[in-house]
Amino acid sequence: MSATKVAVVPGHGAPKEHWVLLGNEGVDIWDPARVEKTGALDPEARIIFLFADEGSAEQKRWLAALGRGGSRDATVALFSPALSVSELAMAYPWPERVVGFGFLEQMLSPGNLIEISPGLRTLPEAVDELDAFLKARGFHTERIGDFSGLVLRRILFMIINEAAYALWEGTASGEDIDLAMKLGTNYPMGPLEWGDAIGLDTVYNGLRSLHEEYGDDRYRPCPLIRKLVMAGFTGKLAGRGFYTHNIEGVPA
Amino acid sequence: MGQGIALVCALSGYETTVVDLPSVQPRIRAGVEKFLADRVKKGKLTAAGMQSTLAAIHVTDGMDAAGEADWVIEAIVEDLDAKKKLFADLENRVRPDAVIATNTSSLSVTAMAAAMRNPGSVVGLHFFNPSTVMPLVEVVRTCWTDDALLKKAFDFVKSIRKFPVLVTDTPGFIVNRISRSLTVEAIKIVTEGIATPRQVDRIMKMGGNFKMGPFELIDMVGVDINFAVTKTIFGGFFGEPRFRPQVLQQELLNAGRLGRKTGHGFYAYETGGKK
Repeated sequence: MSATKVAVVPGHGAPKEHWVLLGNEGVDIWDPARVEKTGALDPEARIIFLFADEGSAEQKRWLAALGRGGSRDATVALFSPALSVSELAMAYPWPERVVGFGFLEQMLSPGNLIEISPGLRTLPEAVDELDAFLKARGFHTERIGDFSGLVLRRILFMIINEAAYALWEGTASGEDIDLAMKLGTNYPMGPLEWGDAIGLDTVYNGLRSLHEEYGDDRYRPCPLIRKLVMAGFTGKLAGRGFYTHNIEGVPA
Repeated sequence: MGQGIALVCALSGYETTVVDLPSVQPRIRAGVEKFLADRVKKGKLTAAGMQSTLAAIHVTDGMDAAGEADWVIEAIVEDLDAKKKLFADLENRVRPDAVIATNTSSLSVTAMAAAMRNPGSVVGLHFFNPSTVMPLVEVVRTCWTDDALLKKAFDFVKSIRKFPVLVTDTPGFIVNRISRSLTVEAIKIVTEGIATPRQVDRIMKMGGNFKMGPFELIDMVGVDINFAVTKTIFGGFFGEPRFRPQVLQQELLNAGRLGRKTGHGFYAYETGGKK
């Protein structure tokens, strides 16, 4: 492993995606509360991974916080950019150092694929640095263009949204919707159980961001997802989402 | 598709009649024999099993068999008028306790049932291609479908060793409707220059554990079929933007790039089907 000094800002209350990606070794986990107060904690850090997928306002706020006391040499890897990286990066004093990236923690294991997305101002060196770092950890990378949600999350959130509409409109039961997609077209998980596993708050924020970026009603979140999120039924971690889950997170 | 459904029924012990034009009957008989012979070769069926299945499948162009059938499963061309006409004719031939099922994937089962004196005798049984392999059947209910008929349909689907799911008659039912989000969104992403078809397929397979990428899937199904289903569902939901087709679909259609079957779709294929 290279001696690249890496820091992680886990955001507030976010799932622990960074463990899946980076493990614990040689990684400096920064206390989000301190980052919020004082900015970047170590100017020597080469790559700062920012995990905060609560939406665009939150991501801009974290980037601005990291700019205080930060260094223009560090690459900021922004997990799951809510809007285009081009737009979000402007909240950081050195937008040319911000690179978006994304994966699904439920699906990620070594050898899997991570999407990397540079903004309009991002320097090739910053992209290369993140790319080389992830490849050295055994991941495949795919460099893609810059828009909200990257590819995997965007498509998956649309699938979950459509399944939610079908459920909401009484087209079929949740169990039948999930079974149909697994047996009728070989999906690795049913869309509704997938939504519960990802967290419906994450799905809701992702859809709202797409809606914000495109201004297209194609992306408006299903009101059922909103209702569940507002009621605190955000999925597996909360014990209830589309399904009720027992303590192990299995649909009851 | 009718041939595959007939095979599934006959393999589960049903006396099965395939009704089709005389011109295609030799092809159906050959297809059935080839399928069963392959199964025997793979050790999945005994020679005796092949003989009894062959004996259970009859191929004819006469509608007389409908008069004796417990189940009539329609799998003709996806044309509502043709199906309505067929159903009206069938209603005069079948036993009063027979069920008439449609394998339509995109038309309204309700509209077909409405053309009949007894619309309550109709149910949708949507099989997936290839029907001999895919384990799912969507059981489609209309406003006239009662619980007794649904139970009968579920028992029948289980008896042919498939998994039934219940869906209310709406455009695209479950699978074709939700699949729009995979294929059309993928095409939109390519149109916007965010990623190439090859990249999107890699991302969905290696990042999302999908067995096939959306573009491999569209090329296999056919760009024209995928586009037609998208347009039907978009129209069926009165222009709901979630189902809006993409210009690129029309462009590929215009170019005659329909997928594997024409050697070129989102990918170009060498002879032998390798992209």
